[in-house]
Amino acid sequence: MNGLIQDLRYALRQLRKNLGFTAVAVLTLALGIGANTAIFSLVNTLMLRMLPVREPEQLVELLHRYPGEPHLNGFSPQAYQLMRDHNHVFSGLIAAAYQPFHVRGEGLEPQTLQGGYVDRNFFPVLGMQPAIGRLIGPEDDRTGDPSAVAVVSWSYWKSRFNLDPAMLGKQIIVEDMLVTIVGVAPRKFSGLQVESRQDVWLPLAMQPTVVRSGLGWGSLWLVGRLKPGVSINQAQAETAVLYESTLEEQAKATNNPFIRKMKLEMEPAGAGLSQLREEWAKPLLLLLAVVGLLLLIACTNLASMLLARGATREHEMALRLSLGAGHFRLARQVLTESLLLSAVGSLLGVYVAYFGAGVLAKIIVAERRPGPPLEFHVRADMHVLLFTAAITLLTILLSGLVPALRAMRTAPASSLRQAGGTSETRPRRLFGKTLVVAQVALSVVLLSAAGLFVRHLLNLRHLDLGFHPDHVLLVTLDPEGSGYNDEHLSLAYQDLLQHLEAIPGVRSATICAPSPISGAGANRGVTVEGYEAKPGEIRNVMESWVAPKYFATVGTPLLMGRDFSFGDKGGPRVAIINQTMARYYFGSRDPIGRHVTFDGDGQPYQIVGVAGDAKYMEMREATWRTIYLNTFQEPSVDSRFALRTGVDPEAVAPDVRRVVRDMLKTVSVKSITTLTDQVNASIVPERLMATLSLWFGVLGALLAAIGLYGLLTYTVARRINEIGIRMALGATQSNATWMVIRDALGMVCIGSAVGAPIAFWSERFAASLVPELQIRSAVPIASGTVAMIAIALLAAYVPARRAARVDPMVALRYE
Amino acid sequence: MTETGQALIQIEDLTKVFYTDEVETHALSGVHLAIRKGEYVAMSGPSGCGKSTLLSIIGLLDTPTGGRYQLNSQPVENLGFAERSRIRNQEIGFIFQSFNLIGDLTVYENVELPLTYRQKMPAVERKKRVMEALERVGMAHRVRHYPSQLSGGQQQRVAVARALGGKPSILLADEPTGNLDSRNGEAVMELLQNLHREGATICMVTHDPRFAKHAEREVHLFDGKVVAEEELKKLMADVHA
Ligand SMILES: Nc1ncnc2c1ncn2[C@@H]1O[C@H](COP(=O)(O)OP(=O)(O)O)[C@@H](O)[C@H]1O
Ligand SMILES: [Mg+2]
Repeated sequence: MNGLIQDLRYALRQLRKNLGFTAVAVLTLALGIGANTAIFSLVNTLMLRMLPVREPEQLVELLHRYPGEPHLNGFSPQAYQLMRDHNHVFSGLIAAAYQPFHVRGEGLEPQTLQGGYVDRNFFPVLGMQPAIGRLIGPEDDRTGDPSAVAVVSWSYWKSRFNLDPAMLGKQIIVEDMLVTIVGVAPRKFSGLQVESRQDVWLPLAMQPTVVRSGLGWGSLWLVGRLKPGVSINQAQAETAVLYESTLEEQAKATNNPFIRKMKLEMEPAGAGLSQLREEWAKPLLLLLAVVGLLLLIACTNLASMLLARGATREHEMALRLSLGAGHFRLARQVLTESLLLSAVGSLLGVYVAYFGAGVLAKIIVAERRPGPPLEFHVRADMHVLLFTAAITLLTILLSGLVPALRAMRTAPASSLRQAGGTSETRPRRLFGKTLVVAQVALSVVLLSAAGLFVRHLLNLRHLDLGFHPDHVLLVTLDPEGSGYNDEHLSLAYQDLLQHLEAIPGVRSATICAPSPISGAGANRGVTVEGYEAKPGEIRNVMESWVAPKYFATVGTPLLMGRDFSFGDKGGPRVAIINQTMARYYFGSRDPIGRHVTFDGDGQPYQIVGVAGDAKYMEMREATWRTIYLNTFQEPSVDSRFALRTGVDPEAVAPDVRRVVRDMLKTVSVKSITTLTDQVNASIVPERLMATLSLWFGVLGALLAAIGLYGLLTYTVARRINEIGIRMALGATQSNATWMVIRDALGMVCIGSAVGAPIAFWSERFAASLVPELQIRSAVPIASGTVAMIAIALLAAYVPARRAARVDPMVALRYE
Repeated sequence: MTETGQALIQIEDLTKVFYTDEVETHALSGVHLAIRKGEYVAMSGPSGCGKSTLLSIIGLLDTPTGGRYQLNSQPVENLGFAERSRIRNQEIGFIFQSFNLIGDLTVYENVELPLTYRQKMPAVERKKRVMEALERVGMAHRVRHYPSQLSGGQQQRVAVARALGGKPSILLADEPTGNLDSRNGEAVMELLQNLHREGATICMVTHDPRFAKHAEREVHLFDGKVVAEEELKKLMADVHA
């Protein structure tokens, strides 16, 4: 023990003596460990943290999707019942419908809470015991005769009732229904979702009573508990048969044969249901790989710095050995140093992670998506703790083991050799170089990855969207409860559009629903005059409801025919289609004057114009067949406005608010954003990947440069005598400079030669995870390598100059 | 054939002052010296009298503070760095007290080193010169060895070979036997003598009178000045008195 304290004290003294080195090492490790912990805690929250329910690993989520599209998680009540009653693979199948509830009651401030309807199996199948009272069970969830009861979360009980058990039996009003609180869910349970927490649960059978409209086709989230011994694949295979039998009926009922193509899928749900997981899992794993590489570079860097320092202390080590210290003791001493550095680094790293993860979580949920806002709380738990501990340990080993082993090999005899002699052996020097080569190789991989992600982002940025997002302000109004009826609102909006256009700086104003790249959309099956649909053909087209001047406002060209006008109101129904739709249905024939009829709607629309193709929901999508309808011809006008401005669109926002307030006193502004922001929000993962990987790539390269600089500086210092001799023998300054540069270039070239194939393989691996990352060229790897060489030459500059300035007189000294 | 009579090195009123921590050290204060082609000069004197300083100025490792220095009838005090490097490389062969072989390079590579700093010397020529020089010092059988695998005497012979390889106008040796035992020291001295007999110009610093006797001419330095032998003896006696 005494020895350990001595080691610690000695290590502390060493670190204090070299404050510059210590600061660089600790900061590097803090960044490396912090970045890893931050990203891992996101991964953990999104994918690893198990729900606080009985045997969560048995839970699976049921999903379905149209081929090639993101999955959907809403099922119809019919499909749910059929699968629940006829499967042999689940010990229980549960359903829930989520929605925000307006809750009030005696002594309670009115409040909107996230909540849901849950079926009778929900709590029993999850294996939950109430904190107090009872949970919703079969006796409550009776179709047609539900009990008006509610279960609330523990945190709601705590924040509203201060954990008072007397609140059992209290009546609250949910939406407009009086319900009795009968129980509190267990403390840790806040619903099955990762990104939102539920506070109120009602029996599913109450849903028609509360909302007065039935559950829609895709409103139920289904989670099954697999029977012991049943695999997820078996369960999927069996349940798919049941599921497909419901599709037939759906397809017939909706006259939409496309539904038949839907496929059932299952995914493990033990870690909860997530709306972000599908989109973020792979980017986060890639980022984890990126920061893992960064940490590896940091460790190698530290190892090489410790090694170089160890060399300068070799004499001292040998002296200690000859004074009777054991080899093991010496190794322990060196390890103590890297342990101290790593410990301080990881403590700082946890701080970095805490803030980093918070910022990242905000960025991730900031992504525009339809539906209620998501919450994404990253909490440190046992997983994160273990992870941090593990990478810290790894850091200690990676950075300290080699110097420690080296200390163990010190020969006591070298204390007798004169200092400054040729004591460093070739293998040792080779090892120092190998560490730098490794850093360079890893940096090349990191920089290439950054190049790949940045290039991908640039490709997206240069994508032809079919409209011009800059200088467009998007304004959403909320006419709900304003007292306007549809007809009045329609007239008021016509008026409003004119007043909006009168605002200085506004070029044109229109309405568009949905606005481009909003992530939302609508589609319906159509019958097109003169076109015979083949059996099984997809008949759906995307729909947009827009006002006159839409195309001018967003900057999509009108290729043929005319724009909508306010005069269309009350007249025959008109539509404008995009070029893809025109080509698909009419080929080279003229579409103007033809008719389109929507499924389940008798009245045809006449095509009056053809617009250029434009991206609709997402930037990444292929162009859809799209039809634009005049919102003023619809039963109710839409409230999403778009303004093209000649000035910064944000600058006109105050005027827009004022005009809306002046003209439509009771209608409020729900949100204002710019089209550019909306487009940017749709590529948050790509932007985050590009930005972070670029930063980390540069950081990694800088670390490698520091490593190279350290080694070269140390080498030059060690070789001053040799350089002096060479100069005495006629070497010029440029010979000496070149000697150092050649050394640096040698290491960088080998590093790049090792790194480039790894980068190549990594790119392919990344592309196999994220197919949109097309690898069409060697540009990312080449630019990564060139960047690394440039940075390395900069790092070599100072030591090279030092070598050039060596005084040849040193050849005569050292005697 | 040696061309005697013509001064290879012509030094007049040479001074060298070192400034350290506001202390001026007058290492050389008005040295006159001429060395003719083919001469073998030994330089001796007590420690700190300026022998190494003078040798390093002769070898263009250092610049004088004042005075004139002509090498091969060409003034060299004010030459640029690159030109000085070239002259060091082509005209001067150094032999150091501590051998100064480069530990990373083999015997062959060490001898080859000065030749690699010459532009446009064909590899064949280089190889020929290296092997000649090594044979001359009797080390040709050790070409693949590293300096650490050789004895001190052997290392110094390799160092001599390195100095010879460039066919310099003059060999400069600063206490070449200082790190050797007497037997090895004798061997190196014999080697220098043989080289001199074959026509080499040599300027050797030594404080060992036995070795100084090997030279044709002895130059005594005292306190930064060249003095006659009798005067040196008197001065030394004064110091000891
Ligand atoms: N680089 C230097 N800086 C300061 N003083 C020096 C330096 N080199 C030599 N000297 C001083 O110059 C004097 C002559 O030194 P040196 O030529 O090495 O003597 P010697 O070789 O005869 O023993 C000594 O007093 C020495 O301390
Ligand atoms: Mg000396």
